[in-house]
Amino acid sequence: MGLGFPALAIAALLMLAAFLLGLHVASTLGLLSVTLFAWFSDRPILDLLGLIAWNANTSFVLVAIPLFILMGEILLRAGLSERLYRSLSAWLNALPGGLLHTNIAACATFAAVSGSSVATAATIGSIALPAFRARGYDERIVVGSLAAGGTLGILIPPSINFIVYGVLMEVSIGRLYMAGVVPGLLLSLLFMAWILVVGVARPSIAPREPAVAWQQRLIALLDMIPTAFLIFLVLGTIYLGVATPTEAAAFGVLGALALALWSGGLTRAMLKEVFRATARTTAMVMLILTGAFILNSTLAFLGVPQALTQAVAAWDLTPTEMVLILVGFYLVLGTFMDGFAMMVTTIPVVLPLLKAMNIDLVWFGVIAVILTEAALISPPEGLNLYVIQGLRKGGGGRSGTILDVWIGVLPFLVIMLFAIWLIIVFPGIATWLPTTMRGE
Amino acid sequence: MSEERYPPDEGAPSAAERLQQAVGAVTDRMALASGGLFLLLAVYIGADVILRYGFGLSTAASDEIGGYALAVGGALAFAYALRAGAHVRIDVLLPHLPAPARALLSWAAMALMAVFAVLLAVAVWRLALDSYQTDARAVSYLRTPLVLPQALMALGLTVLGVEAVVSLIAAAVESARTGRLASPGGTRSEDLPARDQEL
Repeated sequence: MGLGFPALAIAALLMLAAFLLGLHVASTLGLLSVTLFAWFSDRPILDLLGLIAWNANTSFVLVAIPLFILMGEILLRAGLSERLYRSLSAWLNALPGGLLHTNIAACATFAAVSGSSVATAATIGSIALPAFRARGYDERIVVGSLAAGGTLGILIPPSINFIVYGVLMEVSIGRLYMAGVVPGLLLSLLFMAWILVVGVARPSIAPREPAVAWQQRLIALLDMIPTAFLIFLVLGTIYLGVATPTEAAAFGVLGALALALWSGGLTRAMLKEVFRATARTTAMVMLILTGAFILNSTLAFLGVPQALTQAVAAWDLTPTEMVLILVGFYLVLGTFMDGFAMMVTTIPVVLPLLKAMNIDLVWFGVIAVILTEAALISPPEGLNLYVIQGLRKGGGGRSGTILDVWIGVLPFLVIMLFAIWLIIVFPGIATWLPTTMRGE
Repeated sequence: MSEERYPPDEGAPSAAERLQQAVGAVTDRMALASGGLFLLLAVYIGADVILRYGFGLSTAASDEIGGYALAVGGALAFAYALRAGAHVRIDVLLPHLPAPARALLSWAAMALMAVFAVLLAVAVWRLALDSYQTDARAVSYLRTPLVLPQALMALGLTVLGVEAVVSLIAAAVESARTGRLASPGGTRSEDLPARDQEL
């Protein structure tokens, strides 16, 4: 027992090196933990390893993850998002900035039925990018708004990242979901406000779109009904306390399936693709989580949380200073690390720090998820940047380089930091809605 | 309907390529089973909730069964995800390295994945064996013999190890044939759409 800080620092550096060398995150977490464990303890590792893996993989809360992934994969192929995009554009087109507002609004709305930022960016991006072709919009703000808007997928519930955070931090997923709603809407509005400002200040970036007649706008609302229905099915049931997140996810899958059936998109071949994609993403998440749980148990067994708790008292920091340090740390880490892997890897160490300072874990969860969003779009590495660039290249014709996306997301990245600042100064943005839930 | 991820370059496929294709066909079916299992689970949980609210009936076992489905469904897909390149690697440095260094690091990554998979597989097989010998059952009214889901999870981990080892063998054969170090998994990162469905 008694792992000193030098040993912890060496382990952290080794892990960083392994990540940078491109080893798999899951096996790095697992093997490094097993090595630490074997080094500092004489207990039989294999017995524990089997139990840790089994317990991590049978948690009912985590069952929501494959179900939300499955739901997203069905929706991606159900034709729901085209109607959503068209209908929103009828309402938002006339604003300065034109169709760009629809990018954000469609991402925010789709985020309310999707648990993943990459899926949101891919789904909305694949519909939006062709719509912008040869319309005279500034390319950079188009791709920037899609990459950044897509990240809303994990802040606006349902969210796979909140589930993982909740399980590792031992916080209620339902409360985390509700805590994400207001910040998610706030961030969407800030994005749109920025587009509005740019649209007014530099009209050349976006042509003025003709206003759509009210009659057509009202008809367009009909196309929103399926999405609204799904949002109620998933989020309404959680908010009203009728269903747990896992049960709501099961409803979501059934609702998405019904929509696919109704739109005629449900075929054998489509289902096979849905199954493969669901299997792929679920396996990716679960293998990393297995590695993270092994790390978690190893650190706990070696007494790291207690050591950190004692150390943090000596640092003499205020909770706000602590949070600001963590924000800076995650921003740097996020420039080169996958957001999900970043959170899963660091939470076992960060949790004792937060607990020792009595920091509200639900509130911090919202900040952590916005930081994960930032990691998804902070250049040079960020999954969403590459998703949008991939869609651009896939669209045929000549397309710019990744540099357009890097530059295009920068204002949105700054807005995310501003949102984090707001949530630190006004914690109620995140903490108010959960207090109004049934059963609270 | 297995996806032909590794079409032979020319002539008849070598033994290593045939082995890799055979494993690929198995992992593809396991992935379909995994996705199908989650769909069935959604139907079951959805029905359970509706029965609970509508008729006051419930199997009161959805927690337990959901947990087994997650463990089994996830593990069955591990190997498929490895071949599809879905397991996360941080590729901030990789693209900037010369090809031989990149291939060497791919070897290291695949070898460590094989070690991790074998370690986990052995640990979970031991757990399953232990459950079988002591007739360990879930503390629920189902009294599920734990050996069943545990053995299925161990099977998925075993196939993950097999997939990693087979791709190492195939890369070794390929390297010997061409005279330069080939990456395990071949040129997959260029073949497949960039990790399109991840978080």
